[in-house]
Amino acid sequence: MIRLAWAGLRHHRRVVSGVVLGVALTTALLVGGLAMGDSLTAALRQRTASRLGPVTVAIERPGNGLTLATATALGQVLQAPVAGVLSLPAVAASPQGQARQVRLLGADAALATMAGQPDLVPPPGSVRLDASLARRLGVVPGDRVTLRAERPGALSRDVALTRDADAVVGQSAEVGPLLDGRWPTDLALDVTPGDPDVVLVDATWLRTRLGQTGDPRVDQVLVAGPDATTVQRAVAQAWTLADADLDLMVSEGGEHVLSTPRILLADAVAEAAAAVPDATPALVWFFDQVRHDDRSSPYGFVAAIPNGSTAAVAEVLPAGLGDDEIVLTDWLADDLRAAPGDTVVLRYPELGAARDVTYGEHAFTVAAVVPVDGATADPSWMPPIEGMAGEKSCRAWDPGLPVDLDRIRDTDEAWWLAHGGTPKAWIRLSTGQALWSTPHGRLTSVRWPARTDADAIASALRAHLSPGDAGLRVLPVKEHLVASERPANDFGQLFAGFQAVLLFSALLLTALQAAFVVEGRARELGVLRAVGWTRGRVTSLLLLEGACVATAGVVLGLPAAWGVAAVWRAGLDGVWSTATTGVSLPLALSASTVAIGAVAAWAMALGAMAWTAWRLLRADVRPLLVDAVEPQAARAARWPVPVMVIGALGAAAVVATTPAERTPEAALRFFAAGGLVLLAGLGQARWWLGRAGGDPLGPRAASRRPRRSLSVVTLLALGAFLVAGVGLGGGRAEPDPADRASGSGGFAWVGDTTLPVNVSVASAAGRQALGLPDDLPGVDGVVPLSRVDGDDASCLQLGAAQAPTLLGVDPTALSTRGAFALLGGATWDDLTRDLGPHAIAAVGDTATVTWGLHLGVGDAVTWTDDHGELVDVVIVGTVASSVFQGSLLVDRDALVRHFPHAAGARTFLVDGPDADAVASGLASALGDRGAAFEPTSERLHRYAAVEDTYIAIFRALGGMGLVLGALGVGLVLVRGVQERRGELALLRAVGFTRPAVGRLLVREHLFLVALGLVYGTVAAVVAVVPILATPGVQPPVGEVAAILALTGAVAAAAVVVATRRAVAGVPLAELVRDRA
Amino acid sequence: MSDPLISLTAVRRRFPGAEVDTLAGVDLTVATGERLAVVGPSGSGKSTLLFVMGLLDTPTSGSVALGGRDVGTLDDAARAALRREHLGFVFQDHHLLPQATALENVLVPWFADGRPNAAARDRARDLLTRLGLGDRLDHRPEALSTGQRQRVAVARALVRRPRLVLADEPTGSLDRARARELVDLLTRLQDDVAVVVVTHDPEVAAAFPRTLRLVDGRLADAAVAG
Repeated sequence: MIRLAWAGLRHHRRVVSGVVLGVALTTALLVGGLAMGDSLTAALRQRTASRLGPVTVAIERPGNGLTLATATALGQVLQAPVAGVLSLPAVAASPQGQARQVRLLGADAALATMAGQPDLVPPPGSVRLDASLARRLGVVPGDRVTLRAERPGALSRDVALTRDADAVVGQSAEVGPLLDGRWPTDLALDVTPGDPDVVLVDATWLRTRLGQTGDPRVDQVLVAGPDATTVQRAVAQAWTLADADLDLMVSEGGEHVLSTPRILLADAVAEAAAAVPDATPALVWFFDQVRHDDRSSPYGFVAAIPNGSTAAVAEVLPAGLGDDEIVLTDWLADDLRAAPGDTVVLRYPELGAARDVTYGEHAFTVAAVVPVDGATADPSWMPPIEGMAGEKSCRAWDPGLPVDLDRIRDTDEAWWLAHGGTPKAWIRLSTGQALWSTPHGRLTSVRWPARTDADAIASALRAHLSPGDAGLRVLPVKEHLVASERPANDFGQLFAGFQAVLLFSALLLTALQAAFVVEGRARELGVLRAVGWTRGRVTSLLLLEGACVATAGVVLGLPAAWGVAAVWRAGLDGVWSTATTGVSLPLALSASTVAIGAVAAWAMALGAMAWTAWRLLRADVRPLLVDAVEPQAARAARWPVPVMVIGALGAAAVVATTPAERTPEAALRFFAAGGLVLLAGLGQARWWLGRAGGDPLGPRAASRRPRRSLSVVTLLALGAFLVAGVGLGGGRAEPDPADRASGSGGFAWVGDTTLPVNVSVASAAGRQALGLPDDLPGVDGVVPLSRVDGDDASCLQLGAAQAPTLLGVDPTALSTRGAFALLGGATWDDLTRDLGPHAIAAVGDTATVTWGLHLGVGDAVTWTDDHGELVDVVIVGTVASSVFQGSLLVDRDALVRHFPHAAGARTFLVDGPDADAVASGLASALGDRGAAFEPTSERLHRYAAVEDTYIAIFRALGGMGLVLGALGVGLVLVRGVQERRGELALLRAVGFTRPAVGRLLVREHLFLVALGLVYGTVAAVVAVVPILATPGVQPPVGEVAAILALTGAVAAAAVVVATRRAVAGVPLAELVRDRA
Repeated sequence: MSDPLISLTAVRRRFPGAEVDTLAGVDLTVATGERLAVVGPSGSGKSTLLFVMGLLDTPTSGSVALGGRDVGTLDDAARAALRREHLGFVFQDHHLLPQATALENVLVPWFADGRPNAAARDRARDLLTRLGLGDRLDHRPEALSTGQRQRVAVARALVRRPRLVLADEPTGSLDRARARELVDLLTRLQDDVAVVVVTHDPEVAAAFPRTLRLVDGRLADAAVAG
């Protein structure tokens, strides 16, 4: 059998070589396309390596970071390389340019050791940049750049208890030797497109410039080697109260006082402290004014403590203070001329978002008046408010809270000099918390009697608090980035899809050629059957030959696959670079891809050959012996009419019920409708082939080989449908920025800043703080959004996003405007749905949710919040094609609750008639914060560009497939002439000239080409009618028409050339059997 | 003898790569209305002779004249025109178009230079009817027997009223009875239609008044019978 098979292959090597080439082409295309997936994975792996280097785990504490001492201790506990770094978002500027989103990295010798580069860290006062950043800034070593970053703080600057005026620190530095590309040049712990811009400075120098005093602190601790679980255990062992911004000091009276530079104790800390025996929790609040009758006293502190506390002051205060009772110091009572039983009104600041301060008032009944002496003269009750604490004069106050220094009297100054922040009044804790609690905390301090052991207090606190309660987050960054190496969408499959028409053409041509080979040997196979070979044995022989041919084709095709991959990669680096967002892919081909592609191509080719053999051999022996598979004209088959009816009616029903929205569902419906129209068309073609009408020497000749003719029509129709359908359906309406239902939500501008904006643009104070004109019109058209930076889940980012960026918005700002069209019945109010303490609702862009995260409504992504707790971000709705691609929108209050340090606004939407002026004003005023504003239409174009590029790739490759199919028609023609040589010779004999015979063949085959192209195009047009009906859509009709015209031209050329060659060789001797 | 219809003078034909002439100097004249059989063993050049006579092949040397006109200098289009107007062919493999009906197959010669008119259609119907296929006009070849297909081929050869019918082994695929019918048909054509049959069947040859023998590329035994 093997010898026979080999002899057969050798004898028919000319025609068999065509099959081998077909298989080789199929293999090259399939493997070459799949290689794009390997290449993308390799690029993402390279990205992981360049971003992480040796780092496996990172420890963060949003806000004020943790102490360098703890970072050092962790290294000793873990016995692994550990480096604490300051890591701040910053803006870098030079006279030549600005880089908005740089990562300012303050490092020391520990990082240099971890990187294996002793000279890594520049000297104080200089910076190291990478070459690309230096180019963009237009600087070389020796030049100077200005860096701007926000000073870290224990409490979010969104709260007016903090100072914002000097929050952004600018510093000039000299450019030192450029980073050489080795890690940590691209150090980053997240999944974002593009290369990170790292600016490396000396950590000590940076701390000084940021005004950090006390124990040195770091924002991140990088750990190389251990896994997250091991690090978590080490952190639990090594962390201290100082890491949690907790101070345990001894007051002048000997009491132990737990306070925080954060001013307000986090709830977890407050609970843990309250659980330690003999604890006295306290909430001390700054008041604006106390009034009694016509007298008032400005500014001071009121302390709220529980009745029956163990604090020394409790012995002085009356027991059982009522909810609305107040104890005044004698100083205040004198100032107000108030006595027990009198009513005084306390006016106090209420803290809102964006540093908003309003005032509330509460009336109290004076329960007692106490002297300022001993326990009541303790300034340690005052929280460490920036701009107040430590000031020698209250006329030097400059806090974040609004203070009118003109109201301060000499008597107030005297009080301050004598008593500092000693409370001027006392109320019950429950009342104070009812009036002054904020999301940031409900206590300012906890104290214990002097007799208590401080170490015992500290130990008890650590025992009750977890590192997460202290705000410490252990992040498995290596796991996270390795997970992102999985592409967001399988590029290999995507490219295989792009090549679908090309692959189908190659495969069909392979199958056609295989059919030619087998059919041409019909008599040979008939002889084998006649002498006693069973069908199975003959089939085995053919399969053995087919396996050899397929193997030869695959072997030939695999090296060519590298070439195909190189061509696709060149395209992705060039005209299609938008698809990879500029990421240059290395050429990679994994063994598994080669195996999968080779086996698939081999199986498809062998399957096509086996199918042909089965069709041939299922007939009786006699037809094989009398040469041929003698062609008989197609009989009318039964299936075409039902298929026509079902296809036409089905397509009409689908088209009528498809909404004109660009949703994944609409795309599927489009394909369904087009497929049904195509099916109806092919049914109509087969029906026509079975009828007898028309010129017998013209197109009706195609009915001789109905399957072959239908294959040609199907190939071209399917190709034309996909190319025209995807091409025409890719047209998009130019978004109207003013349309609330569009992807811009009716907002004309969108902007981002690197550093947060902690004031409200809508308030006069905010505009003043930002340097905006007080009378700038249209500022109420600005919607600010807070932001927690995470993975970019947009189409601009190729890796799989795990924890997408979160944008916090006031839902009413969108719902009152009717901005954006939420899908599936969701509303903006859904963002405020109560999903429990560990879940928040989110709305996402449809593309982000579906393609970036591979999720749907009801699914969730998990974040670790600033309190170290896991939070489920649950998707409750989506918006289509919006400016929010890549992120998830959540309720701002919910965001701040879980991520207090993300409170400031970093994204802005601007609408209204004065939007241009407002955007321009904001861009200018916020330039130092790295502001960049762009029209929403530009941002939408940028997102759409990726999809448009995918469509362009599909069009190009589909067009190539169509052209290949068109060339294949020539092949079919040549084969057909060989089979019909007797007939054609007869025509010559009865008086047809060679050109006349040629014209018959051309007409017949061009008819099939036209049929295929027309069916495919009509199916595509019908199916995209809903999209085309969308106002403003501009489909690329010209480009699609050009591809179809080129296909027709190539087909015509192939047919004409093949006809000339074939007809020239029609030997008249074919008229006779006896060729003598 | 009637006027010569076709004359071959010293015709030689050697195929590329062959060592000997397939036709080695043939002189032959067929008169108008003549009935002629050419016999010879397999490989003797009978079909080649027919092809040269039918202007389907060009001799290596010698001349061919049709109706007194030398066809040697004519181009392919002119030769095709002559075939259309004057010649009809019947082959062993009838070469009917499978996608065409019997009537359409008969009309194929008319498609060579246009479309068949009503008169042509009438003649085709008439021929098929006379050949006993009047009820098979719309049948495709697959629905006809071998003998019926060959009769369609004969009708096709006659539809344009040729002056010369060339038949190459026309009975090769037929049984004895059908063969006799076909020979009878060919010999009873109009008097002004010449018929040349190439055959290796002596019974077929015997039905024709003149028989020529082709041996080793040469015509021999050129006696006229009857």
